[in-house]
Amino acid sequence: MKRRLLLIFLLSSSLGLAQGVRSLGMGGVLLPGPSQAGANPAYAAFPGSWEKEGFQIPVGLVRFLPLFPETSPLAYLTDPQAFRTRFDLLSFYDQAAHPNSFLLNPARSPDEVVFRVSADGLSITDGSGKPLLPSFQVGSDPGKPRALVPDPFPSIALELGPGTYLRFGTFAGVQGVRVSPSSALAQALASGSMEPCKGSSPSPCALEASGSYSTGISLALGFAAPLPEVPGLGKVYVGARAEGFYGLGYTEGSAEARPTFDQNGNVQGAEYRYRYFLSYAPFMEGTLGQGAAGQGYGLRADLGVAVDGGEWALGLGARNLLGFARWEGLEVAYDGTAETRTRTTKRSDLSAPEFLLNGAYRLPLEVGSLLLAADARFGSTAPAFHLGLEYSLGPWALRAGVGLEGGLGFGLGAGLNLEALALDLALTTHEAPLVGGTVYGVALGVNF
Amino acid sequence: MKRLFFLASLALALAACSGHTVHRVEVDLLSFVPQGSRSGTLSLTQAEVRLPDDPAGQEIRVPGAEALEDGRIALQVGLQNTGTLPADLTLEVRAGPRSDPDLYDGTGGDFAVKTASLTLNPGQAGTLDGSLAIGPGDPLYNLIKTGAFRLGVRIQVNSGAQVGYTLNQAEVVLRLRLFNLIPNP
Repeated sequence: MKRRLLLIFLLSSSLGLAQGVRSLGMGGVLLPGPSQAGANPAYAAFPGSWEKEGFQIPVGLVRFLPLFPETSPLAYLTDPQAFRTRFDLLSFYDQAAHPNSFLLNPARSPDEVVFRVSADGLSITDGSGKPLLPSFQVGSDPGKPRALVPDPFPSIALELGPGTYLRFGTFAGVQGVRVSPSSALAQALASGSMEPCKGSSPSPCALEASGSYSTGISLALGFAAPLPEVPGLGKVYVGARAEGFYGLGYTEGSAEARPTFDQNGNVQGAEYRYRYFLSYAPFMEGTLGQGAAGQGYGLRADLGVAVDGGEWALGLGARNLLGFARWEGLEVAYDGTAETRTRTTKRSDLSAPEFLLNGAYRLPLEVGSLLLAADARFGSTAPAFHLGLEYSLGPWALRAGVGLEGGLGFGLGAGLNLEALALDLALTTHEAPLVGGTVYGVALGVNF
Repeated sequence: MKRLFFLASLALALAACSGHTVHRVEVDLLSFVPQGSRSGTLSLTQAEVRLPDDPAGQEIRVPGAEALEDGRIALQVGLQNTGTLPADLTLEVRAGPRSDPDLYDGTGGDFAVKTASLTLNPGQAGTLDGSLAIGPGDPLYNLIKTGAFRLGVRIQVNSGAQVGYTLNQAEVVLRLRLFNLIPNP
């Protein structure tokens, strides 16, 4: 029971990574304003006039109920047979990555994956003969811990003085997921020849999958304030933040499969290796009992600047300019013959900055007004880019946008802003991971 | 503990996988037989040919074979009686465990999976079909589920003077459903 409660806690905590419904309707673009203070500390003092987001209803969580065995791991407990025949790990992942959208057609694994092995090579296709080249990454490199942990959710912020605040809360989230063929395997799959795989032993051809997840409690001390107005430029805001965390749990794992050949160069089979690192707070040892208890902690520095030019706004945030993270735990490795278990300590890089550049421009029209916005994320994370617009007329708003984040997606949205109530609705799209194709979702937000 | 790690590693292996996904492994055995060995002549002096030539047959490893749903073997040999007497021919598909060094001696666990026979008059051509379906309850199905097995084919001329043979097709197709590996809660 304790473990199930822990899982629910972890799932709910990951909501902190979500975008607003207004933003989703604009293709996922991040508008300048206080809700992006996590990515740019200067936004903590920025006016909220550019972003008006209501409470997002996490409608995507409905899909984790056993009522939807395609996306609900809980079906394993309530109806194991339905889980075995209908659960789709890719659909689950897709929905978990978009908790604020109820996905109408989450990414679906192919009904058939065909591995054709011959002396000439190996091909991987779906049942209709379409080649499958498994390559996929979201988030940062999952191969090592980071000081840049997810934003806390829920969090409590205390104002300590003018522009100074203290924020603490729990965090949880996937730092990165990656599935990729080695360059030799990609070459072999593209050419249909196994020759690139036969260069050495073990074979340079490998299919690798890795992921990492962290959870803990974070404490941030931040400062954000406007600078004296610069004529012709607008109001400039600067922000800085130091954030430390105490880790409750961290895991990273990777697995790889490589073909093996006989002395004649024929494919003989495959060999597997895996490695994972597990760390959790010492007080959890009694519950989890894996022998992986250890201390996890870290500290990082973030900086940001933002400008409000009246009709336009622009911001640049840099997180984890300097930082370190350290996790003590258990490293388990299987090299194809035996499993080894070693107590070890994982450390992050000293600097792995992640940047957010975003801006908006308000264009008055004869009838209504138009808002154009764009953002770009880059640095030690998978790059992402969004472009969106919003047309407002009285209480109504129509929105549209495109985004590139682990695939191409677009958004459509509408808003109704009454005095006492504001409603936002968005039709979201994104590219299905691994299998391609467009996934549609519906998101709903409300503001009282 | 082991169960937890098994489930975790399984979750990684199941990326892009689901309860409705079947992994079909097609092994084109014909491509592994050297071009020069795919055809030849059977006569009274050489009344038998084995493919592959090794009495241990061809070893086939099937990772995750516990998840086997079903499969099939497709095997076709073209024959042409080039002699002056009627020829009586037999094709035998044999399988055995990985540890069996000789699939044709009836010991060590080997067994005949399929046998087909054909009689050809002088000048006549024909085909011996060794194809078969593999499903639950078959001895071969149980053998494949051990994860590694050996397969071999023997063509024999029981009577007749001279028969030309050509291996036209040799393929093993296995369908695996990896979610079958998930234990009950």
